[in-house]
Amino acid sequence: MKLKNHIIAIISIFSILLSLCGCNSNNVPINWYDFGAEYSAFSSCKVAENSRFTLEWDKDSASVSIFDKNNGKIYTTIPRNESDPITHPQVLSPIMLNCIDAETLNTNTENAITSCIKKGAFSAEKIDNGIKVTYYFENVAISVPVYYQLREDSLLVEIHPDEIGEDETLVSSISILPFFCSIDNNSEKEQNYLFVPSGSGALVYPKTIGSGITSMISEEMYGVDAQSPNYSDSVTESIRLPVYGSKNVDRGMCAIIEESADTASIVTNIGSSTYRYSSVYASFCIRGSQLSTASYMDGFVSKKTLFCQEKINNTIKIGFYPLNEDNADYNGMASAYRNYLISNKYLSKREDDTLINATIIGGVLENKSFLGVPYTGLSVLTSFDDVNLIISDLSSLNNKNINVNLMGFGDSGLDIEKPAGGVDYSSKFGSIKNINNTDKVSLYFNFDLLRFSKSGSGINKLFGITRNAIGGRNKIGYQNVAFSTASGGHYYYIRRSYIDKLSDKVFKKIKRWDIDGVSFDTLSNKSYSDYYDSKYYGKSDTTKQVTEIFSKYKSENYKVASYSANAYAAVESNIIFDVPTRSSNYQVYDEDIPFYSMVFKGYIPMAISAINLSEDYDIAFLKAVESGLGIGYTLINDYNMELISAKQNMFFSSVYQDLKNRIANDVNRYDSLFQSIANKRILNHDEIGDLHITKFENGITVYTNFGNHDINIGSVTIKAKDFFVKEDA
Amino acid sequence: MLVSKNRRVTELFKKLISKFALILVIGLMILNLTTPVFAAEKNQLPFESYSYWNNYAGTENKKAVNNRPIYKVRNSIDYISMGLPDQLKQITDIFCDEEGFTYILDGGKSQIIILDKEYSLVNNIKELNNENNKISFLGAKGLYVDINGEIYIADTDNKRILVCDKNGNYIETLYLPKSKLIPESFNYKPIKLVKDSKDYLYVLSDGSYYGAILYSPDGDFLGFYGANSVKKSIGEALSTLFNKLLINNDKRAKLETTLPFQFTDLCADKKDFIYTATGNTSTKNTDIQTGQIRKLSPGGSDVLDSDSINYGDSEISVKSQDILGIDVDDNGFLYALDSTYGHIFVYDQNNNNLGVFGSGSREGIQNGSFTDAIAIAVNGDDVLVADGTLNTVSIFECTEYGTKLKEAQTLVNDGDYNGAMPLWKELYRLDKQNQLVYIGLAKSYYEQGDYEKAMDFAKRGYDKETYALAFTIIRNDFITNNFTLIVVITILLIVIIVLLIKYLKKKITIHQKIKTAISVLTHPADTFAQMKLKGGGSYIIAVIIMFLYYITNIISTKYKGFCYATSDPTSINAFLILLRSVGIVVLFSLCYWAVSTVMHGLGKIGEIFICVCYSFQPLIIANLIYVVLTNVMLPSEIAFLDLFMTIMMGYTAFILCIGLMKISDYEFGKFVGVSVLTVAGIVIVLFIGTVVFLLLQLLWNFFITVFQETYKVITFGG
Repeated sequence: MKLKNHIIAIISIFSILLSLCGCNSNNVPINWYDFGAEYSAFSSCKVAENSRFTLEWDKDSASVSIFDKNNGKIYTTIPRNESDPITHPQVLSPIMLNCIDAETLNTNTENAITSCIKKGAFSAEKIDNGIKVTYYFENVAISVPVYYQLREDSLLVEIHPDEIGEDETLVSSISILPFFCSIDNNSEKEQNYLFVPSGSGALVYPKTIGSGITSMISEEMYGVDAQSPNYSDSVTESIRLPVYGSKNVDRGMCAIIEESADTASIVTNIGSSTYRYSSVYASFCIRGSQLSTASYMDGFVSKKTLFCQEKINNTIKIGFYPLNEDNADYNGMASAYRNYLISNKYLSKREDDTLINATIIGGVLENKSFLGVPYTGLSVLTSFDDVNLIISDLSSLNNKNINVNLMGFGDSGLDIEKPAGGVDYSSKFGSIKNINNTDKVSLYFNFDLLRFSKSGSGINKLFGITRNAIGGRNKIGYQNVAFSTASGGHYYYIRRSYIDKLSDKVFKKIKRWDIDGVSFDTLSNKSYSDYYDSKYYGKSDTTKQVTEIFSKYKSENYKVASYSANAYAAVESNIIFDVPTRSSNYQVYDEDIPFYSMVFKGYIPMAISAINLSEDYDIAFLKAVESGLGIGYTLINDYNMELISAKQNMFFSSVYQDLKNRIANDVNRYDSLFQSIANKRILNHDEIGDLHITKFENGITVYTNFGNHDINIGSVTIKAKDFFVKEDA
Repeated sequence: MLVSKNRRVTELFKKLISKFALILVIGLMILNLTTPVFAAEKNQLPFESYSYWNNYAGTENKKAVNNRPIYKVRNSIDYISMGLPDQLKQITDIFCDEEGFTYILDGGKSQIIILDKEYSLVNNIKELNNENNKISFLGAKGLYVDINGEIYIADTDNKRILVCDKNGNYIETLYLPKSKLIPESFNYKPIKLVKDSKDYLYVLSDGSYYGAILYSPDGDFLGFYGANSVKKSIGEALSTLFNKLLINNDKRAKLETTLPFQFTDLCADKKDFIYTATGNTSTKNTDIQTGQIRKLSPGGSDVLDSDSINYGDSEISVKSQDILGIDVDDNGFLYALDSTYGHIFVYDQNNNNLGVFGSGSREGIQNGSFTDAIAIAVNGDDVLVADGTLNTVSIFECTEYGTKLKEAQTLVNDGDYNGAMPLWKELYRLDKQNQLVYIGLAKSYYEQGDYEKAMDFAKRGYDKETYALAFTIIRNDFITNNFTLIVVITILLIVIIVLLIKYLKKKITIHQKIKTAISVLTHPADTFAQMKLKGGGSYIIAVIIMFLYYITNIISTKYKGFCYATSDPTSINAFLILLRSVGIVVLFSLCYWAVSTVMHGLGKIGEIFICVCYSFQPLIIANLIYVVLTNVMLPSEIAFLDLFMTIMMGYTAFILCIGLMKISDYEFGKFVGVSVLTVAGIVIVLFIGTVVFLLLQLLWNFFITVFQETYKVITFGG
């Protein structure tokens, strides 16, 4: 009898295992390439028209162009040069594909000109307000239907990945209209440039660059996939806004990724003598990938990029907004993007701007020992009583509102252990009730909803870690100070579907606290994929997920703060800390612009990243003045020598008592200007060498001199590293 | 048809993934990194800024700590920003003269670009004018400009040095001089050169391990200067000796000769010291290298005493570091460029690291990061780094913090500690994570007579020297002011202890077994003999003694005086101390018992254990006294401490030997033999233990991998 029971039990276990093995394996819908498709494209003609534009179809190039009826300007989706015709197929291709050979897993790039247009392998059919063009890449047996639709103010380009036909070669990514936003390498500087949304934003002027310099830069939208970042020892700024563009003298083009921005990368092609044109465009991930390293017994290490079999089927939409005359510059692009956000009800007026924005750090984990027995324990750097004193000090400086964010007050301080720091504050800091939260203080409490290294808060390491494209779990190491190698500890990213549950727990917990809002630092600036669920492939659905979480808090009258927020988090925030004020500083970028601030200023309060930690206090201060941003500070109350071993690079100059006078000085210097431009939009921004000029909507113009020499404007001298304010009569 | 074909593809795809996944060991748990990890720490520069802290162990175990940047990148200049019509082909060297002019050598195109202080184009020398001839220097790798404005070009491929003026007018050529000192096989390929204030010219030749070729002001060859020496470990030295003595000539001829590493760059300071850089001082990639930078006196000796000092990063990632460039500024600060990682190290004249900046790891495309950093030059407050692949020059400017740090350190190096005090205070406010700030404050407070603060900062900055100086004064003051009181208290204490002992002897009856344990200290032979005969030993007392030994070991490690500390007291590991103390006792007891059993010893394992434990009593007392003494004595008095500890250890060994001889009933000769075998036994046990541990670790990893694979297949479907 017992034996029988054992056999039944074993068979049952095997059955369960086998049924589980069957999950996710054969359930991959594929839209097969139609080998027998007939190519039918009608002749070049006008395919759509509205009060401002007409949409023209050109059969020869299998591309479309927009004609502006008001001024006669034509915006071609591929560059045209009558005097010196362009011949390079990549420049002339409306779309480009990155493909994977399913047999070898090798990748290659296919352009539409060589693979289909020259062979006539495309078909076109009219649709409402536009045209649907299907490109048949015959040599790799892939078909891609592209929808071009004319709107009142823009051209909408749409691709439905589920309609892409495939056979033995699969699509890994698609680049759409790669040279729609482009400039001639030999055109005149200042009059022509590309706008790249790297960090705060950067401009790229026409040039032909040297042979050794990398001419193509690809940056993932909203940062690299955080659960599987690339190995690099350079510090870069992520792309936060799904917008890019170009200016060609009096014509500008602003492209806004309206859907599937989560899976996009912004590619900048600069100064190539082969292409003769520089361009910026969006490329969309269709299949997620994972760089895998295999170590063999003999020490040989092999690396290979493996791809997920399933496609990301989210609809891709890019809106191309033609800009004219005075609007044909980055000011116009900022305005176009802001209008897009407002008209779609993504952006609305929030809180009043606040000059002082402090992030107060509670504690960190430190190595300690008791009678020689080593252990890791929480070290309190700022107690709630200390917070109270700091707040009362800061509030008295200008008698205006201040934003205070409490960070690292959980069980493990600022270090990553239990999810959301255990969803509570540690009693070692005292009681949060000790903080006298007055009307003039907006008190936030920060939670890291994405990372953990220890089971807890209802999430365990066995099932709670996100999966990469090949089913593995990526262990993220802390960066060594000197190199990009791991040193001391690691953490994981939480399964995407668990984030909502964790957020709910936080929500329940904070109801008992007297705080004004929550801050989600990582949730607002990191995005990652999770191959547990096809919904989250290639970072998909981040926008929706974060928006829903933020909205839930706001619906209960909680404010939400974010850090270096990606667009989806920025528009939902009540305050953005750590606003990007520089680009990734690639050698091929020519100028940094405060595009990010230009979009949100006047709508969402923003603060620059901790000025006390910046490499140049004066420059950081001027960056705030230039865009009318609040000033951010990262503060602690007590410093101890163990902090030199901390994983965080923020304690070298953050003791409040050391900074007290400097903060007071900043307030004295900036307060009156700040109050006069608070909640006001930026109308125009310009850079003339070291002099940056910002004009606000109420007629105030701020001149900031970032240089080391005085600058004269008429009778006014602006001292080096100083600013001057001019008010319109 | 289509369906079946596509199903085949699907399966093929799946098979490929699973096939690859099977050989994944690390792939499933790939260790990746991201920057920044924490909000509110955003770096505005494309690189991390840090400096190295020397800890309790000095420079050998230095540690990288994040700092406020001392340099920030201003911009990178390329042919367009230099105002040139054509692209550069390959920058090979860069030099800045005293007037602030920058000279960029494009060896790939035989041209020198001269820029002014604002880095605007002044002149572009393409070939040298020699009457009607044009002299090309294609392939040149080094240049130097003297105070007269004469440009010296190391025309590498043409094996000569060309001299011209700033307009490119040819002046003269220097070839390899003829001298008996120069071997016939010497291949003259000048790569770098420098002149000192007395017009002596130092030239580095590619592939030469003889040092720099030294020319007199008249152009005569004076000899080779300052060659590196070959460093050998004891093992390597013994191997060489063995080979010299025992192998035949044929075999000897086939042996590889170890040659010194060649210099990669050199520069001169205002006092005519020549600084040399050696790219790589070890043949192994993973070795931490030392002695890469040397400061040579006119006589050729290294005044930095750099042989044991690592001038690069303390940990190396994968690729070996390569210090390709070096320059020194007017204040004697040294700038060393590690081409492999794109890091620039700044040192003062005492080998103190002020900071590290730059990045790239041969893949940098941002301003301030490098793909192929090949040369460095200092231009006033700016540091220029040339990239030979991108053909750009990155300009770094000193930050406000960096300027103050250099200013303060210059004052300290000049001995003006008081003058440096306000700067150190300001620097302390700006950056609490720079060791030099703590050391500077300690020295300044010491100079101002605030010895307690000096000790506090010295301790925080691991500055034992200043700590000892301040402590000496505080201790002497204390003794001078309280001498009478100290004498009275000492006498009183002695009297109290004597009376207490007498009182306790009368009033308290000490257990016989405790008496036996204590009497080991005074009459070891008799006590152990009695123990063997009558069994007076106690396991409990033995274990207590062992425990006390362990505890006092922890106390002596954790609480010994700062001047004597060799490791961070907060990072001591009690488990390791347990292994080092109790573990050794247990292991020794077991091994001795095993050996003595074979060697007809009479000792039982319990007796041996008790004997070993009892013998450690002197060390318990020694540890406690050591802790007290290290907190009141100075490093200069270490000889007394060493002597004391040696005596106590000797006495422990003496008791142990006597005890074991008595317990085992051995004569001295046999005891020595058994002891030697015991030591051999301990080595064997440790070896086997290590092997077993490694095997268990492999087995564990195997099970973990199997579990992960199975789990993955179950939950993810392959």
